Formats: sequence, C-alpha cells, structure tokens
Amino acid sequence: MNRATIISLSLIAAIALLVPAVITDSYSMHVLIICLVFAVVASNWDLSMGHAGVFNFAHLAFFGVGAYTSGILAKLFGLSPWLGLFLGGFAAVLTSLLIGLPTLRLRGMYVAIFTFAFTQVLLSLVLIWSDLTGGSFGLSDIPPLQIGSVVFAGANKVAVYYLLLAIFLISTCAIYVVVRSSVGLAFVTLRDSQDYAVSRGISAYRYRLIAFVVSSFFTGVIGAFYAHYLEVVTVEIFGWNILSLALAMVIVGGLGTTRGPIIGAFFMTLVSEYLRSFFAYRLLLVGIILFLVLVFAPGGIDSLARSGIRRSRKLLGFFAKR
Amino acid sequence: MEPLLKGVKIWKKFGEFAAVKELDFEIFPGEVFGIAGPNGAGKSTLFNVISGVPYSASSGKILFLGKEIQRLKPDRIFRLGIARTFQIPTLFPTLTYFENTKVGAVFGNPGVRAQGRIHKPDATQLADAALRLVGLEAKRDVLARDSSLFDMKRLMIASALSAKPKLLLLDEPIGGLNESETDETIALIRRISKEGLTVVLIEHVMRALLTVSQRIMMLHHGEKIAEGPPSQIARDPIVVEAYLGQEYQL
Amino acid sequence: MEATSFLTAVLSGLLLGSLYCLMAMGLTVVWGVLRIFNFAHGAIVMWGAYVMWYLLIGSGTSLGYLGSFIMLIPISLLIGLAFYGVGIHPLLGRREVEMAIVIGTLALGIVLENLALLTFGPRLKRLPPAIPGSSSLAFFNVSNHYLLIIPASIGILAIVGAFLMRTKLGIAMRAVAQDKEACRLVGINVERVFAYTMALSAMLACVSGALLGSIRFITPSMGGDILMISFIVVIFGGLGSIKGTIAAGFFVGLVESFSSLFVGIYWTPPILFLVMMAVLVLRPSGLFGEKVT
Repeated sequence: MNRATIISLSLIAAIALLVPAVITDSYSMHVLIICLVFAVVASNWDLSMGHAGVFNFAHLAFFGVGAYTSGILAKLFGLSPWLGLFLGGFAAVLTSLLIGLPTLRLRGMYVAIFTFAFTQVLLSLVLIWSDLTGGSFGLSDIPPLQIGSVVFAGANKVAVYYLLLAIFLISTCAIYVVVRSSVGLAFVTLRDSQDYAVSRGISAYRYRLIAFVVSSFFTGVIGAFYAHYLEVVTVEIFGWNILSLALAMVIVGGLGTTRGPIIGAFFMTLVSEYLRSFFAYRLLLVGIILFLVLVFAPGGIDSLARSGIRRSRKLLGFFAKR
Repeated sequence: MEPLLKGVKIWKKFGEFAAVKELDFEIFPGEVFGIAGPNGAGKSTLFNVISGVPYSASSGKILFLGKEIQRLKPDRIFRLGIARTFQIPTLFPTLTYFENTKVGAVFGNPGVRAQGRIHKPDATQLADAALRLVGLEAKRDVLARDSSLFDMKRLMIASALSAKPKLLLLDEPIGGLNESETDETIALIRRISKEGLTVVLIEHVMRALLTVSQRIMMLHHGEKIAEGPPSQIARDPIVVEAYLGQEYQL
Repeated sequence: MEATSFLTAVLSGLLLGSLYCLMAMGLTVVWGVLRIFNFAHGAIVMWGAYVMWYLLIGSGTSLGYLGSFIMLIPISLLIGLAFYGVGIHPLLGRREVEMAIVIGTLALGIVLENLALLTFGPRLKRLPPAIPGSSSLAFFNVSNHYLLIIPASIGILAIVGAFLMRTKLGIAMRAVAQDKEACRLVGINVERVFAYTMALSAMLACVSGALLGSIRFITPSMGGDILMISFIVVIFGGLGSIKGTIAAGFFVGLVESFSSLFVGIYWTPPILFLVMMAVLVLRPSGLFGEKVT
C-alpha cells in the first residue's frame, strides 16, 4: 500500500469514527446505517459476480436467509441474537453450497437462471411455512442485539452504527485479503479468459464455488444484523425490488472493484431515500439509472472517478510545468 | 525408450464430422516433434484433446508417462506437466506480464512432498525465470493489454514455462511474425529444448518446422499421412501433394 | 383419487401447457437467433396483457375481443423492435456481453414493471373471456375461453412455424441461428434479423399475455412468475429447440396442474424448481437441446 492510500484510508477512518458527533438526527443515522448494511452486501456480491464473474443472482437470498434464520431462532427459540449473527452467516454458507455445488458446473447463463429461480423458490417457502416465518405479514418482534443495558436497536442508533462499522471493517478486510491472495488471482483469470485460465491449472468450478461460498458468509451475518436492527423481516427481502436496488449499487458503483460497490451502496441508498416520496417513480428511476450506467458508463462511478483523477493529475502537471 | 506422450486410436467428432480419425502417435522425451498439415487437418484439434481444453477426445486413449489422461480435467492435465499455447494469442489483459506468467507457476505446481511438508517452489522466481527465457523481463510490470503480437506469443509461452512442464505444445508460434521475430522464436524453441523440455510444434511456416524439428508428423483430414525426419518429409510425394500450391523453403 | 379430478387435471394441464408453449416460444426464438436470455420476457408478457386490457376496456373504444387482439399484434411487434433498439443493440459487441445482457434485461424488466404500475395502477385487473360461457365436453363443463386457448396457441405457433420455414425473413432467422458469421459473409444484415426476431418474440409474448389475462389476474408484478415458468419450459425442452419447447410446455403445464391438485398452489413453484434443478443436473441439455457445460 502506498502513502496516498494510507493517508486516504486514515482520513476515511477518522471521518467514519467521528460521524455520530456531527450527524445527530435519528433519520440521517438510520440512512447511514442502511448505507453501511448494503455496503457489506454489495461488496460481497462484487466478490462473486465482479471478481470471479459468477452470474450470481442468489446473493440476496443469502441476505434473506441470514435475516430469517437469526430472526426465527431469536424470536421463536430464544437464541441469543449474537449467536444468531454467526448462525445467520453459516446458514447463508450452507445455502450457497446447496445451490452452488450442482449449478456452478454449468455455463454462465444457466447459473443466472438457476440462482434467480432459487430466490423465487425461497419466497414461496417463506409463504408456505408461514407459521415459522410469519408469511406475508412478515416476522416481527425480533429481539434486538443487546449487551447489558445497551440495546442495539432503533432508539440507540449510535451504538448500532459503531457495531455495524466493526462488522463492515471485518468483512471488507476479509474481501481484501481474498482478492490479494492467489485465490483472487484465480478469480480474475477466470473472468478475463476462462479457457486460458483452465489451461494454466485453474479449476473453473472450484474457484467459482469458493467465490460463491466466501461471498455468502458476511452477507448472511449482515442479514441477521439487519433483522435484529429493524426488529422485523418481510418476505420482500427475496423480492425483485431489493434485488434491483442492490444490483444497481454494484453496477453503478463499479463491478469488479471492491470500493466501487461500497461507493455505489452509499450513492444508491441516498438516491433511493431522496426519492422515497415518489413511490413507484423511485424504482423506475433505479432501473433506468442501472440501465443507463450499464450502457454509457459500464465501469461505474469508480472508473469515472479514476479517469477524473487521471485527467486532473495531467492538468496539474501541465500547470506545474509552466 | 518409453514415449512421454502416446496417443492410441484417437477420434474427435463434432456431430457427424470427424476432425481427428483413429490417430496413433508417440512422442519421446527430449525431442522436438513437429506437426504439419493444411488448414483443417486436425492439428489444433489434436492439441485441444490432449490438453483437455476446450474439449476431450471422443474416443481413444492418451497416455502421459504411462498414465491415461484423456478423461482428466484440463487444469489437472496442466498440473501433471503438459502445457500448451493457443493459435489465437490469448492473455489476461487486466494483469501485468509478471502476473500473467506467475499464474502458471502458482497453479501449475502441485508441489513436492519432502520431510512431511509440501514444498512449493517460489512462484515469483519461476515467473521471473520464465520471463527471462522468452526475453520479456523488461516488461515485467506492464499491463498485458494492448501488447504486440510477438509479445503476446512470448507471454503465452512464458506462462506455460513458469510451471516447469515436461511437455510443451506450441500451436503456430510463428504465424504472423516478421523475419527477425521468426528467427528469435526458432532460437527460443531451441533454448527450451536444451532445458530438457519435450516440445511438440504445430507450424505452417515450413522453414521453421523443418529446421527445428527432429521428427515431423503430417496430418490431412484428421489422419496421419506421413511421419519421419524433416529431410524425408520434405521429399515425400504424398506430403507435396497435400501441400500443392503452398510454398516452402528448406 | 376420482377419475373426474384426474381428467380435469389432465385437461387443465394441456390447456395451461399450450399457453406455456406460446409463452416460452418467444424466449426460445430469441435464444436461438441472438444467443441471449431475455430477463424482461415476463414483463413483456405482462405488458401484452395490459395493452390488451387497454384496447378492450381501458380506452373506451368498442373494438371487441377479436378486434383488440388483432390490434395487439402490430403494437407488440413495435414493442419488440423498440426493446431491441434501446435495450439489446447497445449492449452487443462488448467483451462481457453475456453478463451485460443479463443485467441489462433485468434492469429493463424492472423499468417495464414500474412503468406498468405507474400507467395502470396496482389494482388487479381481469380480461373478459374471448367467448363467454362454457360448454359441455364429455362430462365436464369447461369455460369457452379455456377451450379456445388450445387451438389459438397451436394456430399461432403453426403460423410462426410456417413463417420460419417459408418466408425469406424466417429462413434468414434460422440461418443466423446456425451461423452468424457465415450469414454476414453472404450479405445478410444480421442486426436487422436480430431486431425482427425480438419483434417476433415480443409478439408471441404479448399474445400469450392477452390470452392469459382472462384466466389469471393482471398485475404489474405478474412478470416474475411468468419468467420462471418460461425459463423452466425452455431449459427442460432444451435451449434453442422449438420441438423441445413445445414438448416441455405441455409437460410443465401438466406438472403444474397435477401438483396443484395434490399439494396445492403454494408448493407448485418449489416443485417446478426442483424439476428444473433435476433436469439441469441430470441432463443439462434438456430434452432436445445443445451441450451446456
């Protein structure tokens, strides 16, 4: 890591830690929390879909499975929500193995269809097992996370924020470690040119499976976190709307670069919140933005920012010479 | 001497069309073995079925060091020690020359068991050595995107070499190069052979094929029509007929 | 189980199946020629139902069922052309085209769904049957609309089949499906064939949506389930195979009808999904399709 990166990361860390001192109203804190939750979701999705090129449309299923697992265990079986976080993660991992093992041998398109279909099926299952899940009414009165007298829920958003920041940090570091390792190298080669990668000793199936499974753990954990924060989960978590919003975060942010989807998560959450009063126009706009970025700026905000920085460097260099 | 690679009655069919028909061949350790033939003769198809990518043989046996490999996955075949290059130059555009080469070293070496632990040779050293052998060490940290044809071809060879394979399959390494690049590539093939690797070479540029190979096999419509040392092949009337209209220099 | 419920299940399975053939055929045709999967397919079917509703009821004109149906056809062709021009053409030719198309068509599906929501509102709608009333068939009473679906679907598919076999454009489509590059070499404007194929697909989708609108409720979010069923049919029959799509359409219709009979409506999507999963794992090329790994 060079000096510029260390400086900028330290700056961001300082800002992140000091934010609650500046932002004090409950609504803004809530939006910030949602941004961070989806930053975890989006960056992990980027690991499987962006880095490894897996046509993964079951990612939100991992999120939902984590949420429902922890929620049900806490509400109906009295399990500690802290344990629930881990179990949510593991449930997501099991789910990823369940879908991944049979499907990832197949060509990309089929993986897209299959993972997509799987999410729809989970939606049906939630409705079928409504005694457990609350069906179309949703799972409510989920016990929040708690340490002693500190309750990590709506009233105490500052506590929620710091806990979330910790989870976000761990998840992002994990992604970073994977991307920098030889596993990450395998991902990139498979995405760049699969036949060539295979001819150089990289098993497409194995590494796609690894990407799929690794990306599911923290997604499940953050899903559980989300359930305990809102104290409610609805079947919408497996629906099209959240899928398209999360997809927009990854693409608009910049597929294949971990920081892109994180930026995208903040951007799209803010856009989505700003448009909340416009109801159906909101989702229409999300879809349009996603499509326009795909066509006109496929590298997303990340590549636009990078070319912007390149150009301003050139400009500065030009002026410095004079 | 036992052959390093042996093919027994290999067939490759695409629907009704047979690209390779009942082919037998033997390749011995240390030799440079050339494969010639007009377009569509089945040469690249043969490389494909040997290396397993993008498909395997329809039937027949392929033996490497006595073990059957025709049903193995291509990544496994690479780890066993068979590396290939592609007729259409391929690389990983978002990686540097060094990273492109390192891929072979990292994923091609199953490591050696010694004293209860698996020793993996240092991938960085292997990659740098491979880059030096092909003459690309100066471009180590350059992004592989937008490379010249000659660089792309050499990079493909480097990534194959970094895994220290026993058998190298080169698919038309000279096509499209100018005179001096051709000479450099011929010299490179000789250097590789001196290192002890067995090389199988598909080439259309006859002067290269005839000077560098010790034995040549001629394919036509998926079948072997001639085999022998270059001097014999160059004079074989069957070979001349198959190449009617093609120019070559001795 | 009584004989009548068994036979009812068979009959409704065949009826539903013929509609599914029609519905999935649009996907098959697009895959065959363009080699892409249109994730907005369900949304286009949904729009077909809504446009039909508008022509028949919403606009206040008195075209009657047949008149509206006939008007739907050129409209749907235009929808297909527009969809190709705006949604598909800009994405072709880039390096990661498959991923781009999947995401792009998904995005367009969302856009179409929310456009429908804004234009027509969220309340459920229903189309009147093509021919009201019911008829006696052996010992059942079947609604006339239901009876009409089989000949209508088969008829439309037959016309499309004749089109593909006999007309210049149809032959061009089949040629592009076989070998795009060779077609370019002989002077066929491949992009134009793509556009017309998309128009054909949209027409099939919208028409099936119109027929569907009389037996199911029309809502902007109906596209999701429709997409699922179409995928299952196409995968089961084998991608790109017209015969396969027809066989699979009927098969899926029967599976759905029997599973509704035995385990109820909520279990049907998971069961269909399990069937598809079994197919993908055991015989990925489907009944008649191409190699898949």
